[in-house]
Amino acid sequence: MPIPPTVLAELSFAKRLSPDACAALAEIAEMETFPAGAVLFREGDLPGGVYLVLDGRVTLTMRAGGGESAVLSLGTDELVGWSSLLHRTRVATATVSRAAQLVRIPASALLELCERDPRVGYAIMAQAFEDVSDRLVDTRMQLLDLYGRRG
Amino acid sequence: MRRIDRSQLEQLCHLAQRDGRTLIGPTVRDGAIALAPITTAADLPVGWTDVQAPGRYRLSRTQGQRAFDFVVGPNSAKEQFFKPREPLYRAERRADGRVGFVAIVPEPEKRALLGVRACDLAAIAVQDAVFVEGAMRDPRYASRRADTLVIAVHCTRAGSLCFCASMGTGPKVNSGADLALAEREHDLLIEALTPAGEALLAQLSSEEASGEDLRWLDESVESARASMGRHVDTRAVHERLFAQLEHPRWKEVADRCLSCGNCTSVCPTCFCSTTEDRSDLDGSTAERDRLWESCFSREHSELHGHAVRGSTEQRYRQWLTHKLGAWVSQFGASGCVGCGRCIAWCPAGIDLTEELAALSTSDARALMPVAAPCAEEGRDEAMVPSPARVLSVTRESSDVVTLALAIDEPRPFAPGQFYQLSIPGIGEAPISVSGRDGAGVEHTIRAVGSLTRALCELSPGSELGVRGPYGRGWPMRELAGAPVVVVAGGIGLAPLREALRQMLADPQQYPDVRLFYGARTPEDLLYAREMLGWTDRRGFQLSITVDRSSPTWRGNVGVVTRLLKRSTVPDAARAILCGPEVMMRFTIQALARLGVTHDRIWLTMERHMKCATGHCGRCQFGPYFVCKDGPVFRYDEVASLFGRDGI
Repeated sequence: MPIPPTVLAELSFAKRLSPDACAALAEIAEMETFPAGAVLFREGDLPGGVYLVLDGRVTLTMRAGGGESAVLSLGTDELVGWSSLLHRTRVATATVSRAAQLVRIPASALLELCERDPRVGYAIMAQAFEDVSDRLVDTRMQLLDLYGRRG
Repeated sequence: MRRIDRSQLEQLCHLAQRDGRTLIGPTVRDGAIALAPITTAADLPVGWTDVQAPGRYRLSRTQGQRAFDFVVGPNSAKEQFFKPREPLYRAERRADGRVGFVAIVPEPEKRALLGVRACDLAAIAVQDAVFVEGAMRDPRYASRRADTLVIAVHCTRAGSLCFCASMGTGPKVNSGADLALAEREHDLLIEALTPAGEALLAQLSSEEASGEDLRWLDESVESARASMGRHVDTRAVHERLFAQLEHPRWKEVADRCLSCGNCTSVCPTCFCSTTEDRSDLDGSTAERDRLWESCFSREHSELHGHAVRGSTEQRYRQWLTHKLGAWVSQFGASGCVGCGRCIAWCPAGIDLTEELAALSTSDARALMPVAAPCAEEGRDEAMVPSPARVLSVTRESSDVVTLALAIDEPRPFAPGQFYQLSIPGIGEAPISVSGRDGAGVEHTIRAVGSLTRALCELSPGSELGVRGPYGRGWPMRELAGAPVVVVAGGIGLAPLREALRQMLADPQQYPDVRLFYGARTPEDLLYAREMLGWTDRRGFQLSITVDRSSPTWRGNVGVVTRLLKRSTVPDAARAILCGPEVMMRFTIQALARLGVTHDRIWLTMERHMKCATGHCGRCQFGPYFVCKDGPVFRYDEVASLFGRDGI
């Protein structure tokens, strides 16, 4: 389902984009709904789509010690699948944990858009960098095991 | 002003001991001039003087016959009132089978202090402010201090380490004594400063002092003032010190400091203490003692198993910034009286005046709170628990339980306040109230140390000791009428639960309450069932997240600040927080991005509490005592120190 540029413009991912750039992004993006339990991608998969959450929840899990651990959940206005922007294979499995409406942008088309207009490219990468940097800080806090015995 | 012959000193000693008064005066003991019980003028250090330098104290013979020809020895009047070691209470099995706690408080004692100098009088006043003039009165100190006759001595000679003139405490005795003496070779000038002093003076054979005598006294005191061996610049020193918390000098002085605590032992105002619990072998009685302790020991900086000030650098900084800085905010006067003892008795010869000068290279100033006199009438706080009984035990998670306690003679508590829970022979710890359950006061406890483990193992009917409630709780009045954001991390939900219950019970006052709660795993979530019951209340929003989980958990995974980032908060929202310090730091940043300013955020400094009265000194946090002034603070009050290492 196509996504109206106005809906896209309200997302943080597009906050650095001009209306024109936003319209160009909307052209390559699609809106999709997923039921709880749907798997968007699995750890180790080849690069694919980049997702923005409109509604619902996506949980990232990683394989560890013979089991699967949930490491982060993402909700409204958050970015899922950033590693595809770097042509990398998926670092975690993304599963819809609460029925979700997502914006899906194919990574190849998105990167093409960035290459075509470096100003748009910079805006998109800057936003992705901000998201990834927030995640890095969060991950560090999780690593500190705040609520563990020393917390 | 009168003049007495030297021979009258014997009569003075005699009179000072009437009515069973113990006379404490200077005497030569163990190579130093000590303040100790004496009975006659012959016990005074006649013909002795002291020679002092950094790290050096020696007695030396004089050719004269003066009894007060020295400045200050290692011990001050401090140990007369605040004992180096004393029992606080005894716990024993009562005839009815219950645990009883018997306070050990000395009978009022009569003392006379002879030979006290102006600096030490100022020190007594400082300790009075600490122990008897605040909201909580130490009855042991008060009992020893109540009936003290003080015969002071004007300093007519300054020592090489003296700087009372800088601190404004001497060399002349102006108050705090009943009688003031000034000694010359053959006679003494004597002046009564109180009716008790006048009565005593009337029984001495004395003559009116001459104009020449008065001139001599003025000139001698002025000459002492002019010849102080040390000097410090006290102008706004508290504000200047707190602006230098990162000065490289702290490291330099720490390289020389042995962390031995001599300075704090000889300091006439240092009041930090610790406690020791011991029990007899059959467990029928247990006692708790209070002992002098030093902020230079690592143990003293330990709070709940974690050393707040792990390095000597941090501990030296704590001592100096407290003594000359925080004290001003806490008590309205410096904690340093300029006696110089800490310089003489430091084995490394560290000179406080030199350190202060080195730290005063900049005029930068920190904003410090102004000391407010205690608004309420002080109450006796004997640090003795009341018996309490466990009514019920609720297991919240693998290492957390909630105890509902029936407390004998309970006082009302406010959300965010805390109690001291103790188990005889094991110890005592501050634990926040987590709620009320009928007649029971609830405490939610995580088993982390020996005491909390023992508390978590109690069963219904078990007995323990409880004192409280203490501290400043959540600002329920300031929260009323505004949207309230509550952010809790881990066990930090416990001190917030009663506040949440009260807000949810009164939707008119608290129409919009949003709880953001982060825990380690779904299994560690506290009060899950109760929280579910809250979700259908109008005006309440609940967001929960966990740091890690199995994939079967359908809820949020991630840190609590991520939940905040996903939301918006209404204008004028107020926030209350409790959780690990790092979590609170990041939460404050996230709240700032949402428009919640520092003056609309309150947090609890829970982990810094210890004895609950502010007397043991462990709850120091810059200019505050967390136990008395907190544990809940408005963030802008503590923003400059919050999250800094070693404060």
